[in-house]
Amino acid sequence: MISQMPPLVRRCAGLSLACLLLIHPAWQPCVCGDDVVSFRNDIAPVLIAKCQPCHGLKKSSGDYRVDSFERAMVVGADEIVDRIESEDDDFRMPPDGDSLPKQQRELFARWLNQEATYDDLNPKASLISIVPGIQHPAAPEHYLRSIPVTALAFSKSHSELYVSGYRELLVWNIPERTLTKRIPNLPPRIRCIDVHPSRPLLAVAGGIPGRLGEVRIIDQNTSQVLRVLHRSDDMCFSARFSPDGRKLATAGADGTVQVFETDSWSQTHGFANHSDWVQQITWNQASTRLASASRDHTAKVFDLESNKRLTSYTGHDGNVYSVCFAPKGDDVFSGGSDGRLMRWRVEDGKTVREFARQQEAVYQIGLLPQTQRVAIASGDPYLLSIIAHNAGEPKRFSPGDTEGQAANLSAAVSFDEQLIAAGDRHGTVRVWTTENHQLMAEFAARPE
Amino acid sequence: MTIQKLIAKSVLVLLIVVSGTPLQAENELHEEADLKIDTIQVGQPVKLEISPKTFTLDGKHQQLQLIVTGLYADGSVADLTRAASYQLDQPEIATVNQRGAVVPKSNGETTIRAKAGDASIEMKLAVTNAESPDPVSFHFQTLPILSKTGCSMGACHGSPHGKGGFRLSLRAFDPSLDYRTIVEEEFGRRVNLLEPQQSLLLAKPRTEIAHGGGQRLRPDDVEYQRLVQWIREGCQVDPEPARCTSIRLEPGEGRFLRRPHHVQQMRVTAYFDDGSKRDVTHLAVFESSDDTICKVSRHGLAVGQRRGEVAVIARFLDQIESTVLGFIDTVPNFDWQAPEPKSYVDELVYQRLKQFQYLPAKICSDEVFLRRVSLDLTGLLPSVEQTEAFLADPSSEKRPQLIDQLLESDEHALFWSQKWGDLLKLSTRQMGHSGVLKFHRWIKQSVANNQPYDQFAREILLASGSTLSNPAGNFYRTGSDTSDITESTSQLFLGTRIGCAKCHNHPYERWTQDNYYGLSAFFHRVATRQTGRGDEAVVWMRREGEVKHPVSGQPVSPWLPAAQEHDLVSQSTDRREAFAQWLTSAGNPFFAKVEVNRIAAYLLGRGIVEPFDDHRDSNPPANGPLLEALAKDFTDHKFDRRHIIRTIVNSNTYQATAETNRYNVDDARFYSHFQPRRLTAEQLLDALGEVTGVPERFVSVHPDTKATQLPAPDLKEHNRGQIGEIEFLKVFGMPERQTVCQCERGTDSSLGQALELFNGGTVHRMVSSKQNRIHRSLAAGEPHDQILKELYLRAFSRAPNAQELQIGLDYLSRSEDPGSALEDILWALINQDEFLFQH
Repeated sequence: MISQMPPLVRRCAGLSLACLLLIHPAWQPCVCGDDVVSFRNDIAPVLIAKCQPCHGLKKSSGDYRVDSFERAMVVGADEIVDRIESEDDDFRMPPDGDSLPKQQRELFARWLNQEATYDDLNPKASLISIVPGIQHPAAPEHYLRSIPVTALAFSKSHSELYVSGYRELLVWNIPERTLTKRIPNLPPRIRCIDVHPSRPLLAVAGGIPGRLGEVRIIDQNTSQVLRVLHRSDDMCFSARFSPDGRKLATAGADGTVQVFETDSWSQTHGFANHSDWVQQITWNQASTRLASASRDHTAKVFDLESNKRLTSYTGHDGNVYSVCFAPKGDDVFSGGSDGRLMRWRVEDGKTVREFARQQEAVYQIGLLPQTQRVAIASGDPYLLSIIAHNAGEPKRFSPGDTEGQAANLSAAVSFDEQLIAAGDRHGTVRVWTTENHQLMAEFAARPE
Repeated sequence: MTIQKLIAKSVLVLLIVVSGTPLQAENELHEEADLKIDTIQVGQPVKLEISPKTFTLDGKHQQLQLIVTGLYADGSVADLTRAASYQLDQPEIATVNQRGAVVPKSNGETTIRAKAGDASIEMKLAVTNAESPDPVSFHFQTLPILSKTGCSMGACHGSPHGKGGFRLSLRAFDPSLDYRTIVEEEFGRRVNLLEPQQSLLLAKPRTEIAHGGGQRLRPDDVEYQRLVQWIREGCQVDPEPARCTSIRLEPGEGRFLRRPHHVQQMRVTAYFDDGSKRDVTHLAVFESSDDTICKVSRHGLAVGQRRGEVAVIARFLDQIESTVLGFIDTVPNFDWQAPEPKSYVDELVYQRLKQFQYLPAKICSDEVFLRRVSLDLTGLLPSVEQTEAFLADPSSEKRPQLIDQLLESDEHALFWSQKWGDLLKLSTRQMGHSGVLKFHRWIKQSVANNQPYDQFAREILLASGSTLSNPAGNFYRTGSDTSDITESTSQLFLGTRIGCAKCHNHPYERWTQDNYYGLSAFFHRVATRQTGRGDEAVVWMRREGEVKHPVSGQPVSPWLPAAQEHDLVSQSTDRREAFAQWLTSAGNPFFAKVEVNRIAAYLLGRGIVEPFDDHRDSNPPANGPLLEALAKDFTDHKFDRRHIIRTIVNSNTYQATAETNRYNVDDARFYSHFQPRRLTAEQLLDALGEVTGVPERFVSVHPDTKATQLPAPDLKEHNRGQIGEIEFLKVFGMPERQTVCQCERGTDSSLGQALELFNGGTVHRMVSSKQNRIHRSLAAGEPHDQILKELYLRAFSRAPNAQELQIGLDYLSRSEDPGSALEDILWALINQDEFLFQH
């Protein structure tokens, strides 16, 4: 697809979202004919890239916003076109820069001629949610530097590990320590990878900081993107299939938690209870409840049956990065920037006890139900595994010498609970056995 | 870019081409387009100077700012850095850009010859390591750039909670925290190691993504390119960074530029503890103490806007330096004339006025002088008898005599005690009713006896024991903790607002957080305890206890500016003695200056340093030599405060009229004329009482006590409220004495004040009282013209002129009720500026 790209605007170095949105044909089938200008395909991407930085939710110069069709049209399509065509510096938009390229201006003019029609259902929907899913540029063949490993997941066979790459997923064979596959068409930052419990599906949450958040559903067999969900204007941080496989929950910087059916991919629930980024979500074993961790310093539990928030836990002093239900589902573990691992009750949000207190932030909590333990990855150079019911003596996983080792940003437990993996800030992945903490593999997850 | 900007830019470029600078196309000058830079006129310099004479540029990203100065036959100087042409013996070694900055190209040595007019001068340049990789230094490039572009300033990401979830330390004073925030926080969200330009850290300030702070960087800025490079290099942090120990700002003090010369290129050199030095002009942040006089571009070009003096401040990392620049305009038809100087005060004021071409005002009339000096020295209007006697006195020495007489008066001691009461926060809330009265009596004694100022300060600072027997100890009750006392002491006696340094290095001056806690160490062991006996408290020194540094957690040793460490260590159990000793020694750089400046501010309406308790390098005195001379005179006279008051009040400067002439109308700094100022709340209330003959009575003090003599604003009496509740005093800005800052006293005008004067309760009661002066005079059968004359004498310290008298008499004759008509006239008089202002 990249090779079909028209040789257009390659300003600066690298490609901005603006260019991407403009020059790539939508991967979703476009219903419009060749001559018809589509608001979704042609107009909205320009508005997002060129106008929304100043006329959006965060900054709305002149009290004017373009972040939905309805809002953008408050001034009338005539004025929009007049502004971008104007030669008067004080009137023309965008200000203080070059005018839009001729090609884009012509699109706007044609769109006006066809009476500025809207080709989506909901004129109130945010622009970012209606523009077609984008084709991400190809990943670099070789990485010039290692990048932090921010997400990890074991394949069902346990022999392979999905590792966050740059615009791609890297599939590493653990025993061989080789890169076996690269799954493209993903955003540059990946914050969560989840494997469907029964079907050959992957959910990948990520985005472009400050610009885009999305969750992509990938067919493991074909590596094709099947769906793009939860699109927003900043990162998505978490996407998790329910243990019964029938639902997918997503969360991100827009502060919402969304739930989709995995058959139809239609949204069934939405929770906007957090006042800041939702960093992670997790399911209970019964697939009926979700726990969430947020930068608003709280963790919450939502009940899907009653469609209600059950509990809000306020025992952390800082960002909450990770949550995990205790084996019976009556308690939740949470960890965050205060370095503490807390166990608290779903029923009333009361702290049961503090399980660990690390020097550095706790980034990831994983439950090992068979051995009744929780494992945590943190800014400290080792993993901890702790007995889940009484916080007994913790076990440490470390590669012997921890000198100079970086923070572990991600961790994953294999389906059979035999292996535990962690990825660190310097791009190194390590795999241990859970039984005796033997280091099985250690490699730089970087295509060289 | 707008058409106007384009034109401005091309004109600017054109000018430089005309003036002969070899040009490199650079986009950087767009920011200097609004600085009103006129063509640099080279003329015929007799000689050029270049700085530095030799320099080594070590590394391909280093730069060197040259400064070329032209010396002229008439003794004037001009900065010709941007007007000179530059030639290099070995042009492959380096280039000189249009700002006079040298950029290295390859290793080697060369001579750079600068030419302007017929003069020329050379410097020697060496370039080393131009081909070696020169990774961007996080400490010395990345952080200064974030500071220079304003990212880490207090109003943006440098605020305690950051902005938009992104928090930097204020002015980059905590590098390791900033590294974590920029590179690591939120899973490395802010930097993109594989595509650096896509980093959030760069996309925001170039406003590709909505940015509350607007556009701070453009892709063609050098600063931007350095940040890109730093990320491309993997966000390296210097393993063991050299520490920057000092910076030097050039040119140094004493540079005066006379129009048409009005620009000056600055250079900042940083010195490191590994012995190296670097030119950091392009990384330093520049500020001007007064943007209306001089603006400084981000490239360090100071551009004079109008005549006057400013401090140019340069900041690099946590180092701050400042230097003073003067800009002189030639005023057409200016013809210097001045009265004969009475003392060094006038001489130094006139020197400055002559330099900047302002004409001093004439000497004021006896009437104006009498009213002015009475208000300043006693807070009160002169009585009718005093006025008549003074005006009738033919002696040429009557002004000095009156001054001496007023200085000896009880009213003087009480009024000036009130000023100290403000500064020392005398209030019953802090020290109880009897505490206030005793402390007030103690201060009054000190003023009345003209106690030397050093003794006064020592007795306050070293006070111990019961506050009943040693009332000065109440000072230690005015602060809730060591910090309060440290901050009060430094503002009172060092003229320094040090509070900012409690949490971080002071952003505008050289006081650091270490200094703050070093000073607090002197006061940390002071303890006070209420005894329960009346309002008594006991002040004593604990035997141990150290102040802890909030960052390191380590105990901090006492520290004093410019003092040797051994002065502080070998001391008795009371550390305050070492502080007081240092403070009151003749060589102390703050003590005398702060007090003479305070006295000058009280008398002249504006401190030589203004605000008068805000002495710092970046707030230069309007007249440095005058401040020095007053401080020396004060020290030479054993800290005799009355001597300084007398010297100032006897000067022409103090006695100048408030009327301006066309050659001084726009001066408000150099004392070319007297600045009229509104009477303070207390002065005004007393003046109203005096004019109407119905003085305000206050609870809890002797019935004859004047407002200007009150010990504290919150004295109260059971069931009768407290003084501070008098609406009139509140509205006119009587301070509650919450802080040691003089700024707490309101000096502004407000609608409330106007209403209070039109028909407020106090004014209404005084004017309409049947017991007031006019009604008493009418009842006694005094003739109308006599009543009117006395009114004028009381209110304005002068008799009415014929016209004023006639208007008054006409009004009275037309009126059926002379009492009510006189009330109208009285009301009209007290609503005039001549009454409300000291002039």
